[in-house]
Amino acid sequence: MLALLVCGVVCVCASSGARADARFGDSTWVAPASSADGDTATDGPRVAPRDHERRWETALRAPFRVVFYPLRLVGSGLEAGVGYAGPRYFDPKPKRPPKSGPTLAPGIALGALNDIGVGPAIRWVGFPTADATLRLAGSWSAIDRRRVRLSETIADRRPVGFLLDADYDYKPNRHYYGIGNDTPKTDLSYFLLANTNAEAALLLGASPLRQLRFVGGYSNMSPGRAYHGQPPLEEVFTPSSAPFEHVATQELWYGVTADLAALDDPRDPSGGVRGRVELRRAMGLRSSDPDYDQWRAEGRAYLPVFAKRRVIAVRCVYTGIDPDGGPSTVLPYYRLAQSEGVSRFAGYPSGRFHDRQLLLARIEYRWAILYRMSALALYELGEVAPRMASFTLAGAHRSIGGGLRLGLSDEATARFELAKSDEGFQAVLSLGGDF
Amino acid sequence: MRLELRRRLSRALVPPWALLLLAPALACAAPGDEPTRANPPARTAGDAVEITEGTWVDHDRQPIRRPPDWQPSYWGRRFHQGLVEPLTHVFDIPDKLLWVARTLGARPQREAVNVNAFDETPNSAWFTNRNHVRAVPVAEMRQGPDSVFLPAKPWTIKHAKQVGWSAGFQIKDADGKKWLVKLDPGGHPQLSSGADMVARTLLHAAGYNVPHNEPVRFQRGDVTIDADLLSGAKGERFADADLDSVLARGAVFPDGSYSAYASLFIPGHALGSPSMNRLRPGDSNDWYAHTNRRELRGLFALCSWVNNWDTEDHQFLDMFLEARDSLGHVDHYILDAGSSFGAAASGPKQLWVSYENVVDLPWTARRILSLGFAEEPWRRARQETGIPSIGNYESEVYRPQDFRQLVQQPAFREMTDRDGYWGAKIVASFSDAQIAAAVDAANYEDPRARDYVVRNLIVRRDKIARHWFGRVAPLDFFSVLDAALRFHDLAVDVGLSGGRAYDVEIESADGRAPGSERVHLSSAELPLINLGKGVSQLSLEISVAGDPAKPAHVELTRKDSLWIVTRVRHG
Repeated sequence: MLALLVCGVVCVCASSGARADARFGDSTWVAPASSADGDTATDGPRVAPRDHERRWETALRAPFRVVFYPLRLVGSGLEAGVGYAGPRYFDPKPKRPPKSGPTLAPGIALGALNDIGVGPAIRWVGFPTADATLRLAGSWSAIDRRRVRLSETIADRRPVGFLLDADYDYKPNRHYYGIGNDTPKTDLSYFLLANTNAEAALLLGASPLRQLRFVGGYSNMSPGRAYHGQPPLEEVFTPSSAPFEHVATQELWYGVTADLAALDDPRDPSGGVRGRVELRRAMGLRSSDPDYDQWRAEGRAYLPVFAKRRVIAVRCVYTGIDPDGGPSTVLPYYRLAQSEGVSRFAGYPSGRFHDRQLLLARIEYRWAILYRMSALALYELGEVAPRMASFTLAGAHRSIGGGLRLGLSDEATARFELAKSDEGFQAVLSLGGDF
Repeated sequence: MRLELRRRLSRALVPPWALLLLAPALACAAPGDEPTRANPPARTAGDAVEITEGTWVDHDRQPIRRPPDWQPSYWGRRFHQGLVEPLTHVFDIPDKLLWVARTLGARPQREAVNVNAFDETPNSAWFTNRNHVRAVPVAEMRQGPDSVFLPAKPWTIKHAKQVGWSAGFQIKDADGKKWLVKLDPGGHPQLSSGADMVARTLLHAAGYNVPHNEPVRFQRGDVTIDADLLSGAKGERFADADLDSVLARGAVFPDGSYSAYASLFIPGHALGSPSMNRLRPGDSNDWYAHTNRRELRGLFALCSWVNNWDTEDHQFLDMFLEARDSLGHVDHYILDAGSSFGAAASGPKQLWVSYENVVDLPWTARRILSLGFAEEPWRRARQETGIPSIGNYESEVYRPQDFRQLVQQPAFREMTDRDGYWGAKIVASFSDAQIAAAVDAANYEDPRARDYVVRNLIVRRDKIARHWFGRVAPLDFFSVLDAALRFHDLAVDVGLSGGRAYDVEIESADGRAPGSERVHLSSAELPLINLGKGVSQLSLEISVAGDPAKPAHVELTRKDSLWIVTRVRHG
């Protein structure tokens, strides 16, 4: 009370001297009622007691704090993880030539929830030449999927470059529903496939968006009895409905790939077109291995809807495989065009349809919701057929859905999609596609 | 068995449900933040420190031993404040219950705690009352927060700059003083250095502690690398190539010199950044939750004014200043104001920055639901000034209350109208001449830059004042003189309004005279001669006639024959 009175008296005293030019906002302003001088380091009072949460608020919040404690732990764990990774990976580093020599880091290969592979990844900058980079990564997942990938890029992003790529993918539970567009979903079966590929490419063009690639390679596909999935293929299908049921095939192949694009923003395009064509001719190494031609054509178009943040994106894919020996020649079921990876039908499981040709048309409406992230609504038609003439609009499988798209770089996106088809819902999180 | 289980389950669920239903009642029935008594006596805290509500000096620099170094993890905090906290608040059930309580008349929102009887923040290790109580002379502001003092050349680089987005390095100048040099982003000389100088000058004049930074220009030849650093003898290596790579990211003036700002190391021992969510361990002077500090909540208005969009914990720094016998105290600084106006460390700020949080859930929801047709204000705002040293900054579409930091600042989230009014009052206290002087401190080479910043700061200042003075009646600086209560109507003072009339409701605060009396004033002066006869305390509620702004509450106490102002509350 005494302090208040003293202060009040001081206010009165102070006011008399300040009255002459006391106009707030004036550069010569002096407040009439303050005595804000004094040393905070001297002994003296505090303005308020120690601060504590109000008791009634503690009582109100306590049960929720207990119930949500596990979530809080998760949040704290994530925070600690980001706190650890941030300085190492997110902080901007001065641009300098990458250190030459090998570096070892953990690698992750995404798949289904039980198929997330982990393993070592080696990156060797400057091997074997100064402008080359060698990458080697291996991973193993809980379903015993084994992946090894080796790639060597020489003169990357130069007008003329060279690429060597080899990978081994051993997956014990691939899906097979039979060949054709109308296979019932109840025919789901599983097979093992050990896939070994090696290819070499001559790259003409510095940008992956405008590049011609002459490619040649070797492919070995070896099917087997599935595990981590029931029932196995051989219990559902006869050998005639799954040609080359347990027979491996080896092929040598060569071909050409061309990319051509005119986009306003390669990472998050809102206007422009992009096209890609791949042509391959494969020759069996043994007499039992078939010879065939394989192709894939893809076109995309992007159209802004009155503003760049709203985009209609269209994508069409036509892919197929055609035996050299004519239509009657049998091809291994595992080398047929199939709805998986970048050709997966949105509302259907991966590997749902197999046949010689596949058509996919998708239209998306995308709209920006966060920095580099868009929401999307999609409508898709997909179909497989033995030949072009067999495609019909009525036979197309429809998917409708929505999701999120995050542009990671000019060549990679992360997408989450939830789509519905006549067979139910499918949710997919993918990393690496560029649509 | 099943019945028994159901009975047990229902028994277990009853208390939480009961609590849920009782919560609004709890909040309504709970006492407010502050004592309702008109004139609370001086209290003593449990640890024998005197508590005086009327003080203008919060003695929080009492000698303590040096607290341990500690600071929140930069990326962890960014993740927490950017994502975890916004999500947490969306699903904060007690908050929703308190919101219900508010509709029932409760005031569950907590007011700032370090506020004195006059609704002001006393001087402390965080804040010193400056411009709004005693105008900083224009000539002083023209020099920046303190006198001009540049790092003497040549400079020796002692360390690379380890954290943050801007390119730079640590130096020792020719006089042996340590500085951190941050380069302006390439193509934009004076972008960050100018923004930092102007914003820091204004923040300091407002009352905050800021470091000594100086805009500098230097040539490549002014800098050498320390021999140990060059050879990597002490573990850290920084070669000529590294320096070239750092300089390549920097802005260059036409004469070939680099544009940067040098920050003098603050005296004392750096303890690290404070956390807005916890007190500093080991600092017994730090006893108000940082989110409940008036100067941190009200800082919103100032940041909104200068568009300082990066106010994460790491933009603050605690320094331990030793006095004697290993004892000292902690001072709290705003470390970096370079991300102000239209600037970012890498160039002009992105257009959405300062209009949205990096994860802005309300805007994200609006965009999702509108299929992208909701148009954000930043898309309409013409921010691109075309002035390299200013970047993207505007005041036309700007709405003070909609200003957003990159990640949400917990203290800003707790801001009430009273805190906002306090901040706005400080912003409004700057005259046009002071603003021009603060901008002059940056020495912009481009004449367009100076005029643009001054003009926009003035427009923004007035918008801020208009917004908060419209929510809380800007009646302030009460004093008793010549037997009359005099006060300032700040809206009139700063020219936002012409002369106004006021309504005063007068009650006896000591219960000696029942009922209340209403008085209409045509000027900011209330004669006290015939008021409160036989009464020792009066409680006044003063509002602007015909204005919906929340009124000011003033308490007068009679001492002998004089009335004195003993308590003020706004809103």
